[in-house]
Amino acid sequence: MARLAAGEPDALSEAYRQYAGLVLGLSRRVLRDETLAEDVTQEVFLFLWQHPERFDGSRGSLRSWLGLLAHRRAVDRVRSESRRTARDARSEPMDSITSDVDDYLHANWLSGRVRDAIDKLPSEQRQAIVLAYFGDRTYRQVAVELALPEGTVKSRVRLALRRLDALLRSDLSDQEAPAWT
Amino acid sequence: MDLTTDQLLRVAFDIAAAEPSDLPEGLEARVLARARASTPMRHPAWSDDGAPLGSLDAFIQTAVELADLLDHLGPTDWERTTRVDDVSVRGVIEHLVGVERYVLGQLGRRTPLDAPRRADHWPVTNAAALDLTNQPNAVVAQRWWSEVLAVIAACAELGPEQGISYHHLAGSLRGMLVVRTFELWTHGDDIRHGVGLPLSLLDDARLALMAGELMRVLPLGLELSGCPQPGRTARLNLRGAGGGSFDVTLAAGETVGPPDITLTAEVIDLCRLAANRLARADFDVTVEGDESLLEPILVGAAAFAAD
Repeated sequence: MARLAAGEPDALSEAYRQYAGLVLGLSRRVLRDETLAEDVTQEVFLFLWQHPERFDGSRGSLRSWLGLLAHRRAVDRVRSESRRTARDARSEPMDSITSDVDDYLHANWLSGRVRDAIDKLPSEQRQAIVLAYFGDRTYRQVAVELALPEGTVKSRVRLALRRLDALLRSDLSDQEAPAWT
Repeated sequence: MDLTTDQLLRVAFDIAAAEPSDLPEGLEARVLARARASTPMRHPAWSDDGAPLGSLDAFIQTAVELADLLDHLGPTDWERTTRVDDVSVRGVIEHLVGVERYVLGQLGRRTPLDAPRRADHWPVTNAAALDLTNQPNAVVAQRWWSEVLAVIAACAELGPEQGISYHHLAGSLRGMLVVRTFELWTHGDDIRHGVGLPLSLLDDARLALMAGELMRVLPLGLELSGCPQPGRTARLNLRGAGGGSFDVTLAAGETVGPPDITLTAEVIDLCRLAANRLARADFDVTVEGDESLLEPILVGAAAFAAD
C-alpha cells in the first residue's frame, strides 16, 4: 500500500498479478459481458492506485476489499446500463460512489448470502468445508478429526464448493445488493 | 464455528475468481497505462537519487514496520506507558496522526498549522489526539496509516528537492524524510520498549542513510544549538554496519581541515543519541584530540530530534 501511495507502477503491477483474476472473474459473473467486465477491472485497479488510503486493513484483507469494490461496481454498472446509456454510466467516477458505509453494508449483504448458502449445504459437506476452508486445517487434519479417509474429505470439500458455486451464482449477480449511499 | 465477514467473502471470491491464465492479454498494460495517465505519480527525481536507499524509501520502510508493529499489539499493549514522558502507546500514535497532519499542512495538502518552533512539535498534535478520543485503537492505527500514506503520496509526487519547513528546520523533502525516518524509528522503539519487545537495530542501508545525513547536517546542528566551533574539524569513526569514517566541520559553511578531535563510536548509538533516546552520559565513545569539542558535537547531533 505504501508503495502504491508512493506512485510506484511496479506495486500496481504486483497487485494486478495477485488480484486481477478475482476482480475480472467477479465482474464477469455479474456483467456477463467481457468488455464491461474488463472496464470494471480497470476502474477497480485505478481506484486502488489513486486511493490506497481507502483500504482499511483492520476490517479485512485487501483481497476482500478489492472483491467488494469489483462486485459493487459491476452491480452498479448493471443497474446503470438498465437505467441510462452506457456512456453515462462509464462517466460516473468511482470515488463518488464509495464510502465506508457502503463498504460495510455491501460486505454484510454479500457475506450474509454466503452464510445462507453454506447453511444450505448437506451437513457432511458443510462440516468438511468449514473445517478445511475456514479452520485453516489441512485435509489430513480434517480427515483425522472427522475419522474419515483423506480422499473422502477432499471429495466433500470439492462437492461443497461446486454446490456453493451454484447457490451463489445468482446471488453474485443479484441486483438487490444495497444501493449506494 | 463463527465465521467472520472476511472469511465468508473469501469463499465467494475464490469460487468466482478467474484463473490467471484466463486473464485477457493486454489488460495489465491497459490498467497500467490508465494509472500512468492519472495522478499521483512518483516524481522521477526520486529514482535518480544515486544513494543505495533514498530517503522516501527509507521512510516508507520504517512506516510499514511501525504499521506491522501496531498490528501485533494487544488491547493492553495500547495502554502501556512508553519512555516518552509517560505517554501511552496509544498517545504516541495519536501524536503521530497529528505529526502527519502537520506535515501535510506544510506540503499544502491540508490547512497549515502554525508550529514554527521546536517546542511546538508536541502541542501542535494535541488537536489530532482530541479528534480520536473514544475511538477504538484499531481506528487510531488506521487513521495514522491513512495520514502517513497521504504524506508518502504527496512527497512522492513533489520530488526530493521540494522545500519544506519542519518546525525550526528548513530544507528539502529529501532531508525532512530522513528526520521523519528517525522519528518513526524512534517512536517505534518507544513502543517496543513500552511493551517489552527488543528494540529495532535497523538495517545497514537505513543506518547508512541516517548516519550520512546526520554527518552532513552536523555543522548546522552546532549552529542551531548555539555552539559552533569555527575553524575546527572532527573525524567521526562510526563502527558497525552502515557506519563509516566522516570528516565534518564544526561550523556551517566551512571547509574541512585536519581533524582536531577524533570520535569512535557505534553508529546505532550515535543515531539513538541524535534521536534523544540515549543520554550523553551513556554514549560509549572513544575520544582522541581536543576533548573540549566533544560536548558541542553531541549537543549539535541531537539538534534535530523533535521530542
